[in-house]
Amino acid sequence: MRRKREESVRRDCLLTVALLVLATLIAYVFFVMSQLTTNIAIVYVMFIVLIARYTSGYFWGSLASVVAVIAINYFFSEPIMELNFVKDGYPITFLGIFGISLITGTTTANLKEHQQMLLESEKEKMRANLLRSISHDLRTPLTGIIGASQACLDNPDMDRAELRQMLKSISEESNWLLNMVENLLSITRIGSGETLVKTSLEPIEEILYESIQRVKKRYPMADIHLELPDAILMVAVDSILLIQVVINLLENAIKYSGTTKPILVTVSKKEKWVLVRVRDYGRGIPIEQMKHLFDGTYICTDNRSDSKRGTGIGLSLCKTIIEAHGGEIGGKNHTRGAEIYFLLPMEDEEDGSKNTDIDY
Amino acid sequence: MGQKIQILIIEDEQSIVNVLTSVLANHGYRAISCRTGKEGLMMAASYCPSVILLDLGLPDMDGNEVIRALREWSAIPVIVLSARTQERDKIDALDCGADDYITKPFSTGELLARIRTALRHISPARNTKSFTVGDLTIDFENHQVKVGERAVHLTQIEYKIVVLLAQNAGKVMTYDQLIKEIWGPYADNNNRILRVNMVNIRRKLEKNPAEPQYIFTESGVGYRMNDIG
Repeated sequence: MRRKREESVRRDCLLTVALLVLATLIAYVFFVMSQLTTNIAIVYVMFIVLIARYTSGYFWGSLASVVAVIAINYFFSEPIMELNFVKDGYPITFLGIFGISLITGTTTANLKEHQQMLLESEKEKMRANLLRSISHDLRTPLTGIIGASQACLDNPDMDRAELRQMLKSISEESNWLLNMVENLLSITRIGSGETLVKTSLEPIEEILYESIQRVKKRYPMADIHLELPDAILMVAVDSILLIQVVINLLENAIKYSGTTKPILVTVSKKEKWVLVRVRDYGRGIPIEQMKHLFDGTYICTDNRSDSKRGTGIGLSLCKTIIEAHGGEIGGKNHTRGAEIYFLLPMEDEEDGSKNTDIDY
Repeated sequence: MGQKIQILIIEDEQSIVNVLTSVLANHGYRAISCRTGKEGLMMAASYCPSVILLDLGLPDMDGNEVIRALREWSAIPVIVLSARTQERDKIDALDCGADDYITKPFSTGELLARIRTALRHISPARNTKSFTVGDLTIDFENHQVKVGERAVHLTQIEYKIVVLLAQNAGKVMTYDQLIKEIWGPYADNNNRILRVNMVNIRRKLEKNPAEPQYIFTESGVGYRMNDIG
């Protein structure tokens, strides 16, 4: 921590010195071309603003103001190469220059601080929203599980059919919880800075097959069609994360399209990208929700079937994951149904039928 | 019929032990359990169980240490219990000598299937002439692969891969294991060629790869050939 501070101080100092030197040189050019002290003062003030903007705190900007006034007096005001603050009118002039520099400098520094605070409060708000969303989404299935198990415990004479129903409900809600937990864990797989995700070369169809398989385990009646090109398209991805994305998209399509019509997943090559589209033939996405689809804001609707949604987290997580892979995600409505698509940079394209081995 | 098959559970979470014990008992196995790696090694030595279920997150020892120590004197099949997102742990465990893995929370069906496979590998009444699962038949003598009546044309490499998976049917094979077996120990570990071959194989064999019947992908880890028709 201290090393960082020292480094930062050193950096600010060097920056200040460099900018002041630059200011002086430019001022000198002005001086040679015309003897207007005002122009020179303006040059210095401009550089003081830069110093205040790019150094931390109020110190360097203020120091620069002092240095600037001294420099202007020494280098550029009669008597040249001499300090004289008491000549006619000079006290006011230089006080004025100093005042302007100081005020501009501190205002700039203040602005920076303000921006920082705003950013922090935005982050806080996002975190609070996320936690609120997550808590809500976790509580809903838990309520179901607690309710169903309590009902079984309270009624030792419950008939087998009803008991089975309760257990089925517990099983479903638990699996829903599990998916939610896996979504959350996915967030921890995404780092920050240079390496956002650890990738490996994967054939996109394997990712899709596995996702479809897992979704069918939870929704055995789901009808999902996959259309692939002949070529084997490869992408560099974290397979666990990408599978999570596709599962989220498929489950959204199943739950919210409001129809049992089949869901169509298509893969195609689009220049240097792999385009994956998940299309349902249901009721589409309401226009008001379109803009906020990937926001992560929990959208409450009065439609009861949406109460289990958690789409807020799901889709915003999908966006985070896809973008962490250098890709893009988006949604659109068709005449019948909605489509969520994403693009990933294509690593490789292998000809599906070509093979240099001899056949048996 | 004789004695029940013994399965040793090395797991520190009591709730998981309870579930496992109950499931195993319901299917005719006898479960014994302990909570630390050290105890596990001792019990393995004294009880000689037929299969060991090993949790990777033990309090006293790293799961892989347990496997390595065990493998110094025993070939008892080990199935590790791991979390879904820890493929690295699974691969390491398999490389250390574990035979298979099962992901928490696990489905009873999968657990029992893996146990059955593990047991089968100790007493191989292996048919070396052919392999069949569902509609898939591999005729080792004539190098022929058929799905139902349809003959499937595989390249040399593809055939080798399919045979290897079939010989280890039911067990997961990691990418590395496959690469080393097919292309040798000095092969470039870049597994792109393997993956492309696998995609082609599955396209040729599976009617609907989204509902695989023969070859399953274990993402991040490897592949597994089905062993129950």
